[in-house]
Amino acid sequence: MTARDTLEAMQQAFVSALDDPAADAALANQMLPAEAALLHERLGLYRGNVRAARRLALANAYPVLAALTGEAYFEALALAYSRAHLSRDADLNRFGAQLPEFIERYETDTRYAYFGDVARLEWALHGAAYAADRPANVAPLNAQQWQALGAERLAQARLAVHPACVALALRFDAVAVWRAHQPGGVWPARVEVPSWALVVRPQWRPTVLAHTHAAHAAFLALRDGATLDAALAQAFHIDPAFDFGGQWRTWIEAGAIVGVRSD
Amino acid sequence: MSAPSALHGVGIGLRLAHYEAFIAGPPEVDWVEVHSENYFGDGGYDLHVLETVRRDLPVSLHGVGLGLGSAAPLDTAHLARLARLVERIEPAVVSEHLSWGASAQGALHDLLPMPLTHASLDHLSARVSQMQDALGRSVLIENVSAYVRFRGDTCSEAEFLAALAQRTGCGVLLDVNNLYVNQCNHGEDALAAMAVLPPQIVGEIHLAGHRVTPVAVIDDHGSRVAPAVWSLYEAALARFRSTPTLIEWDTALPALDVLLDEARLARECQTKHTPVQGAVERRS
Repeated sequence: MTARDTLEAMQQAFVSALDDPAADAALANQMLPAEAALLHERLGLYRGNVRAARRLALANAYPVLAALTGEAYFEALALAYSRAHLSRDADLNRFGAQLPEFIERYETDTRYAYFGDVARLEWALHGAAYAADRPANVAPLNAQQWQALGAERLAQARLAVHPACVALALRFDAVAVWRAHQPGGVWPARVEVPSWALVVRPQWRPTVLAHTHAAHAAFLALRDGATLDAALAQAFHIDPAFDFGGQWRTWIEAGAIVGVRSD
Repeated sequence: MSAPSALHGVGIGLRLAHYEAFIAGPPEVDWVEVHSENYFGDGGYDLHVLETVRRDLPVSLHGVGLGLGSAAPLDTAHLARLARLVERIEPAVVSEHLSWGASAQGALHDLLPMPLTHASLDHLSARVSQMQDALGRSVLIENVSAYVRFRGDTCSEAEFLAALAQRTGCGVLLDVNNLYVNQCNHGEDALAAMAVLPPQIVGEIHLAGHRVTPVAVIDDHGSRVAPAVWSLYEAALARFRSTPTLIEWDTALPALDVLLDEARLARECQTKHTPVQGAVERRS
């Protein structure tokens, strides 16, 4: 065995002990303190640290889900998720990306089937906090510059969306659940209705806009490089009464659409 | 080996709870330290605050996630994100730990102790060189608090760090609280550890609070610096002169004033151990 293999074997045994206290015995002959009971408690300190770091990282990314499920449930969820989704990435801000799909399998009670969509919305909000401040190679336009562009040029323009924006189509009304957990929020009458959400970051604090189905389709088209004309055609196909003027103002005020693409 | 640090005086950690106070105007500190990984994003408020503070104060980037001692290959994506941050912030110091933190299966998000052997020294030397090559600069490596040791250890942690510095040109970030914690947990002599380190390789000192429990003394960075650690700090300054010093506080974060008061105490110690300014300095 090479020295590197020895190091790898020790670290592997340590990892096993961090996951399962019964595996401590395998380390006893190579570690100190010599007293087995004390060594067990000392390794327990590392077990506690590792679990706490993962649980805190998930609670930081999923505050509404943590509030919905309660401390004991969330702790068990964090442990189960950590075992299923170990990642080499040491950046804790990136830990938890697969939690939406995971909790849909983990929680089998159909009354809580909406947990997955709440998690999807929260992960988009979490990512939005760390997104770039502006799209590359696009000059941000102010209200007057948009005005000056004129309706015809705007219709044929391909628009740049803010890098923090994520448009989501959800099976449940996760937007209403998320809002219920903001200051002054109230629990919605119904959760079991589809919803469309746009995560935005007007300045530094990410937030959620409710989209209609038509607005969702138009936004996705714009994000993917369609002209405004083509994007609107998709929206009006879904809803002939789509309120483009109102939606446009909302997008501009929220900083969701930043400028005109030059590519 | 050149002096590995461009900092001077006393710094504190820049933490979320104090962002607003920092944005309002730089407090009475000489520099700030942040955990590098908290600023790995493409943009957002954390980076905005750090870049704003950086205009007034030097920054020390303290990594907690690279896991230099892991047997698994170094995470080059993590290293690339660190390199991007170094380019963006132009820190005075970049540091990491003498620890491991990941297996082939996954990251453990903790600073786990290394066996202190020749094999570990070979391994760490290669990893520190890889890090320094990627960043194009020398780094400081910090001694860690440990709750367990390895029966096969062939040297002390301080001897290990001194050898690592000699091999790679890295410096040492000396955590005085960690020396004290390990003295309590393993009967290791903190003063003897300092005596092993050549003064010119120590580029930064950390001071922090700890918690005493029946199982071990725990390095929780959650209280004021203990009297015994202040005493060790005096000894450290006598040996390492006025090395830039960080007040490190991560859990149960108090009001900024408490950190500034700890910084004041550290500064008083530094002043006591600074040689009188005179002809020697003016000649250089």
